[in-house]
Amino acid sequence: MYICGVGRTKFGKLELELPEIMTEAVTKALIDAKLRLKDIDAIFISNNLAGLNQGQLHLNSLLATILKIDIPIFRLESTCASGGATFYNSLFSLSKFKNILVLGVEKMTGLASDLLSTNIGTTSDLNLDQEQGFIFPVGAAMIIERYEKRFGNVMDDLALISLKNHENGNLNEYAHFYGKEVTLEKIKGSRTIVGKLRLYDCSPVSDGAVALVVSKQKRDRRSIKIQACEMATGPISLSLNPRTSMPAVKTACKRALSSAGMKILDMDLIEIHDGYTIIELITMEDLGLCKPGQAGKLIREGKTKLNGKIPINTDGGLKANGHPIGATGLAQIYEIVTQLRGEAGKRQVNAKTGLAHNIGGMVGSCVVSIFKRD
Amino acid sequence: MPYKCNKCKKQWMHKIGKCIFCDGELHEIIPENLEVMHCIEVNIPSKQHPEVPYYVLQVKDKSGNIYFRKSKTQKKPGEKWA
Ligand SMILES: [Zn+2]
Repeated sequence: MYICGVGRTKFGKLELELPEIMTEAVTKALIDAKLRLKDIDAIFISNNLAGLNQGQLHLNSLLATILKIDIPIFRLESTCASGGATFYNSLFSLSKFKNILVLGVEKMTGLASDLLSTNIGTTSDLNLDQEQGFIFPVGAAMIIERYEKRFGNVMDDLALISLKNHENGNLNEYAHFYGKEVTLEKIKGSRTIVGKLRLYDCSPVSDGAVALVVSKQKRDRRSIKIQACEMATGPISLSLNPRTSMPAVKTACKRALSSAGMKILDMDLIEIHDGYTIIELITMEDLGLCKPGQAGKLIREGKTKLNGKIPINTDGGLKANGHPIGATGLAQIYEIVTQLRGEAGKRQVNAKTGLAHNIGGMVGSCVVSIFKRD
Repeated sequence: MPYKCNKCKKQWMHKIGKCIFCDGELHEIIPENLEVMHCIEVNIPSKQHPEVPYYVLQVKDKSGNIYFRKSKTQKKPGEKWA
């Protein structure tokens, strides 16, 4: 199985509605794959919040209406892991189809902040979390507290993660924060959201879409091989996991590496789901890049920067590239494909293999995918 | 909550009827001696919780079960939560 075409919109506050955002990404992916719509056998849509944010469900039929097609179209939701989970599910269809399209889309701006916060909160447990006032930034702040209790001060390391991702995002013209200078002083001086969690430890509210054309056979030299894609699930509430590590991440990663017949240190670049900077840090440990408590050292040594041994979030990550929930997991794949093709311009790293880590909740769903240039 | 199976002692945080492993009856445990582990101040209003600030506590019962609890006042780790 190969990714033969990729397309995306800019991420950020877009003056576009869902139909326009979806159409732009689909059109670009088809052009990139040198295919036409009639060559696509089925479409899989990843979306989290359109039902709540826009009052629009049945996106599969909406897309069929826009594209004037009647092929099978499906929509899947798994909160912030919607992209990864949709990609994972789509691959099974290649036993029947030749070329499929995977589309991730989200429109998040333009809502009152309390309504958006409520809508995002619906992806946590109704009784255990929502009724008790738990929101995801609280979870990130709690993980920071737990981590510091176990391993000592981590805030300076988190600021370095944020800085790295903003530096990378400034080399990605599609990124939410492209063209915006963010310094270490600005990050450290940003207002606290909850607990020790600062504004610049959080990913932004973004609109955007990404589309991928996935084919059963390699089409040309720009086709990138899907070496493995595996998923694991876990508890919906952080209250059910009092640790500084996420079992679903470890399991999904182990499954993906086993399926690919590779080791984590074989990876030349990694996309980590840094919804909060602390998640990038603990995920480095859960993926096995280092022992628990040691991720900060790798960050301080610059090992995860563009010129480091294992570049992480070369597109800016969720922090700077942006986080339009349904599109996020596919944006990570877009970046890895772009890097493995050698088409990443100023942020290009030397890479033959790449891994994407996409999570939902803390952590209720995790998809780990591995790609290879062959 | 939580709900514990009378026969195999497995436990759930959600009301699910009978035990899915042994068909045993589940009985609800009323959490006792809750102790505060973390206390986080929240200043982000939502439709369900429009009044800020409020506090989200992570509390532990005597069996080690962990829960989130909303509080109008700040608490310190180690404090009891009724
Ligand atoms: Zn039982």
